[in-house]
Amino acid sequence: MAVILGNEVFESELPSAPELVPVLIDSVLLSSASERSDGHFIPIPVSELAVKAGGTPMQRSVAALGVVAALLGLPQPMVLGVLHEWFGGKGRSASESNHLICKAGFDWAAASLTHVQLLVDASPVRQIDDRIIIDGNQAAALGALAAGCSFFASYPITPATPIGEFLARQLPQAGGTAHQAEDEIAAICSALGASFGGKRAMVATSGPGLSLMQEGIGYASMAELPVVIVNVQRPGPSTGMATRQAQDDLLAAVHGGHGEGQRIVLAPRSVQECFDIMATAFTTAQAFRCPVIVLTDSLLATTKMTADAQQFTGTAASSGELPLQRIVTGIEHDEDGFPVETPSGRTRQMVRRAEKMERVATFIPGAAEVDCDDGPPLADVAVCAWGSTVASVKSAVQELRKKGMRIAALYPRLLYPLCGSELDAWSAASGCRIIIEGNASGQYAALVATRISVPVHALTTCDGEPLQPTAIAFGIQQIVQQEAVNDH
Amino acid sequence: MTTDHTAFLRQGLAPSWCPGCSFYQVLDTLTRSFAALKFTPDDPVVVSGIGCSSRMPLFLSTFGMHTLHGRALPFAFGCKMAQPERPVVVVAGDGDLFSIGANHFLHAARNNHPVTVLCLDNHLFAMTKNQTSPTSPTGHCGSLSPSGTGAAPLNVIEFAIAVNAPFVARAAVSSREHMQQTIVAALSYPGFSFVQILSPCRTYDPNGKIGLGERKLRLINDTDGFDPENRPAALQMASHALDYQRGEGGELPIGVYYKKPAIKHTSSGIIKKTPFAYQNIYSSLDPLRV
Repeated sequence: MAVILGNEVFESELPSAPELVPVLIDSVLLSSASERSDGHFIPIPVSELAVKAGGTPMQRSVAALGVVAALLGLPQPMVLGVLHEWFGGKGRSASESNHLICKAGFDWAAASLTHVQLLVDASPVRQIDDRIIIDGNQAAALGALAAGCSFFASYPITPATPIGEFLARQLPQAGGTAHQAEDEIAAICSALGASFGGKRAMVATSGPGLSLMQEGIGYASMAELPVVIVNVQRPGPSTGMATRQAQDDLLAAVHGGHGEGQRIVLAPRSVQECFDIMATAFTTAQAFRCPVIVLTDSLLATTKMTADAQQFTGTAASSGELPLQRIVTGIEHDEDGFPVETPSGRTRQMVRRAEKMERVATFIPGAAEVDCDDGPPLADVAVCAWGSTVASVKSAVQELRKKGMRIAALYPRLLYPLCGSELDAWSAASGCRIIIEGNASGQYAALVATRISVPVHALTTCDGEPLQPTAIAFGIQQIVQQEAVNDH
Repeated sequence: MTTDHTAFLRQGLAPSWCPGCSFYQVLDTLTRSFAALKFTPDDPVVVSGIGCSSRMPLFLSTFGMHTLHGRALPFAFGCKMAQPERPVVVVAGDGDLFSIGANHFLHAARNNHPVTVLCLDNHLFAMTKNQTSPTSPTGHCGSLSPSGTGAAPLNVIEFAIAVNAPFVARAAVSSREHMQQTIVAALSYPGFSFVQILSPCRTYDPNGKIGLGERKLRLINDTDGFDPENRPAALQMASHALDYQRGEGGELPIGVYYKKPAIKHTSSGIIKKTPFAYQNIYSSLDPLRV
């Protein structure tokens, strides 16, 4: 079910919900909701209930909690007990006030919403030991632990802070160090120091922090030190919108350093993959001795799901400890690590560092997921997406195929270096090619254009919202129609 | 068996400093200090930033990290966390440590990062050809501030004590034996230790006057009743030595200004391990919180 409480939801398109999903909406918003959509809303007078129970309209969310709990068939004492645990520390009046409001919402729903059918069976389950609730940030942090990370340096930044919070508690218990640095520059530099010292080291940040870390990341490229940088994207440039969604740091991840240093950029496509990809990141960083940037985003970071705990366990393939190099430097240097400036020496090192990256695409298993039900040469359209957008694109593709469209899809998790052979095959589609991503300029499209020589459409958004399947499907259809017109 | 101090010098790579540079004296003294502490070349990690003095690790046979301008301290901290048994020594200049790197110095000191910091202070940026640095005297002119800085120099001793550095000392290349004793004491201290080493630039300060002016060096222990464990007294002694203006008379004390009593350890090694706050904070079992 969906619950709508805020006015700002109506600033953008209402999320599409399949017909059978009940959409509960605060009654005070109902008239403007009806204007915006012909959707099927179930009004819940939560603002009113909150006020009647002695609170403020802002506490409508607590009333809504009671409504949802009643619909799910949860026992009232249990719900009120959890609420007390949550608010108990805030003082007696807050706790009592929320108790009354939640009860009011619950009692109202129990009496008035008996007609609402739910798709899920919400009856209690006896055994929950091996089930967890997890979000993308926690998955990434767990993934780092499982991959043998033993040094983590953090600086608080939305939306990446929870990764540091998790590791601050858990990493010392695993024998590692979790350090809050004075700024992001200190964070990346201390991770590089730990990497030099033989440990698997990592930092987590967002756009503004990535900008600060660019010099350090370049140092990792030049000194050939493995390090993992998790960048949880949010809209930029600069402070941007700290709590919104975007996929606009790709080019900064690939090209953000001065000079021409090597980097690898990975992007998980789901909460599960936020966990899985960390082992790949550390192994690859060590194998290629370069920085690996893992691009997640606000949406993945905060999306919660239930899962089997077993899906989030693993063992690092190696202990991750490397012997110390004798000397590292950011100056151009020969194989022994000492400065070299001769034209031939310099060229040799530049070529060596560049050539090692040619093996990345084949080294990483499952660099891209290929969905060519209809085969690229036969497809009307070839779509491509990365990161959290993949889930929405898959829904859109499913809907469009039902309408008879032949679609080939490519979902890379290795964004850079490019997964060349998959992209070459994908670009052979007879129809048009569309790359769908959450940034204004089509950043992955720009990278792909350096490899394939046929035109690519960039279907993009920079509105700070996740891309929705209906919008994506609509956009794809528009482009396909336009192409058909152009052809005639 | 004692390692001869020359074993700490990199073979096959001559230092690139100007002939007569005071840093040769620091290099020599540093190798003698390592030898005196019975290290082998496989023990220390020498971490530097960018600048003339930051070239130091390239000329030593120890492990070395030649890092980014101003950032030696965070690199050193990460390395120490990964290799806690090794002595980690930061060698950098006044511009590197107190211009771009001042923030990192502040936090390394207050967090008691267990590294030794040697500031080779020539009161200017030498490698980039003579700009003023935070320790240049008032009115000193450099190529990017040709009319002079107008600001009083940063008193790095006072600053270090103020931000809770537990070991703060000043030495000078003109007093070699004292410099070696001070470096050995700093390396032996089980916590953050800082030594400002007055080491003039042969090229841009050939008379060595920028730092000292007309003053003479004086051993701090010659002051009656000076107790380096007394922090207010240390601050007072440090603040009197502030003004580097030429022509001022008086004396500049060198020696250990402040030394906080160290936590006693039971390990028998020369370098004692310090418990770090971050490793001990979460010592109790903490259930996984969502």
